[in-house]
Amino acid sequence: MGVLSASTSVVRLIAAPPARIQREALAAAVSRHAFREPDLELGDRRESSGWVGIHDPLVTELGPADLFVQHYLVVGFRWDLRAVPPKLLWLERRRLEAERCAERGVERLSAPERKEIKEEVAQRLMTRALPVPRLFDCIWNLDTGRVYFTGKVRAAREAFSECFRQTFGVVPVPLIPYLAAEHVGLDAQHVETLRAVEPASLVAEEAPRVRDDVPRLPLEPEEARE
Amino acid sequence: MKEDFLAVVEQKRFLGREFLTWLVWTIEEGGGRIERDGDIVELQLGDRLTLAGTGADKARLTVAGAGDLRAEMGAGLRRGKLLDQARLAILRGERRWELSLDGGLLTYDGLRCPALGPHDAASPEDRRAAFENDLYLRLADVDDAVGVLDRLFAEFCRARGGSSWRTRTLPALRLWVDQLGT
Repeated sequence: MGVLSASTSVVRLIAAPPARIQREALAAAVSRHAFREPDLELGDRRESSGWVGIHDPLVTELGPADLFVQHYLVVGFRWDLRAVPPKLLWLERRRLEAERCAERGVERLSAPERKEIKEEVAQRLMTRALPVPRLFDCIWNLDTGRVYFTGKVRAAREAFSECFRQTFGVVPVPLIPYLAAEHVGLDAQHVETLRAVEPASLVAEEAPRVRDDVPRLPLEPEEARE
Repeated sequence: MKEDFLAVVEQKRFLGREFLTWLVWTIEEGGGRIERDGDIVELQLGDRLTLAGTGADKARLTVAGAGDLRAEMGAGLRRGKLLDQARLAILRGERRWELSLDGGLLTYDGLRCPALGPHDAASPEDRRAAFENDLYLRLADVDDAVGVLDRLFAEFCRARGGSSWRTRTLPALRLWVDQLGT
């Protein structure tokens, strides 16, 4: 879901922009880490990801004109995930187990054999699984260092962070409340004070009730009270 | 992501939840109208919110519906939970933003910005220019919404770390929680 969608998610991160913006060099770095279609016949890679044009996700050779809008660097991020449907894996595994049992005339296979079959079936099915692509936007404000990323899926965010680090040489750090405090205009002292606070309870503390009908220690013997 | 960073995220998640709870209290107490540095915005609580426990209390409570959510919210807060997510609307004049604020992580879900104006780009060059124009306007709108919430977050941070937190703000919050929806 991109920033121009009717509804989008925004995760904010902070990444120090380069001291000197060299547009050609940044564009070349982005193109080096652009999305490449994986060879589905090879291996069992579950994920593939990389940069695409924000204006057109099929564009993977990106020049400065594709990336810079005013003081923003804008680029799309494609994240493909291949997964085997669990029910299909279960059915195919059962089919192979039944075949092996019939071949060997046994009723049940050993646990290591069943595990081996499961891995074998998962690998075979993975090579046939189609990737499910997801598209996100990355907007890097080169004046402030703020980054907007339009995805909340954790695995996609981690792939994005790694791709960003490899491309621009800086790790984008999520602006969680603890870190955001130093980016909203507070002085260093306020930030340090805030970081040291402990959780507060918003539940009013009840005043201790004094009950007259409950005996108190030390208990006096009855004769002493008479 | 490194483990020590994830540990900080978990340990300090309460800060964002306290901010969101404080924000809803500010909306409720001030009738939603917030004026800061001459900028007037109106904040409204939407139709969905989630409360989350702190410490060992991991249970989450989601309240959704078109009616008054204060009774359920009050019950959750009085059980020691804090607001973790809330659907909010920000209004400035005729312009309206809607979003779900995730207090624990300070992220925005379901962000809807004011509609962009129509355009009739015919040629590919025009379409590309229109795309960039829309993108720039939309980013300004996102910055606007984020800016409003950042200013309020800064205000919360000053209050939370200040000396009046224990003497004024916290007692007022506790009184609000105690009476909310009763």
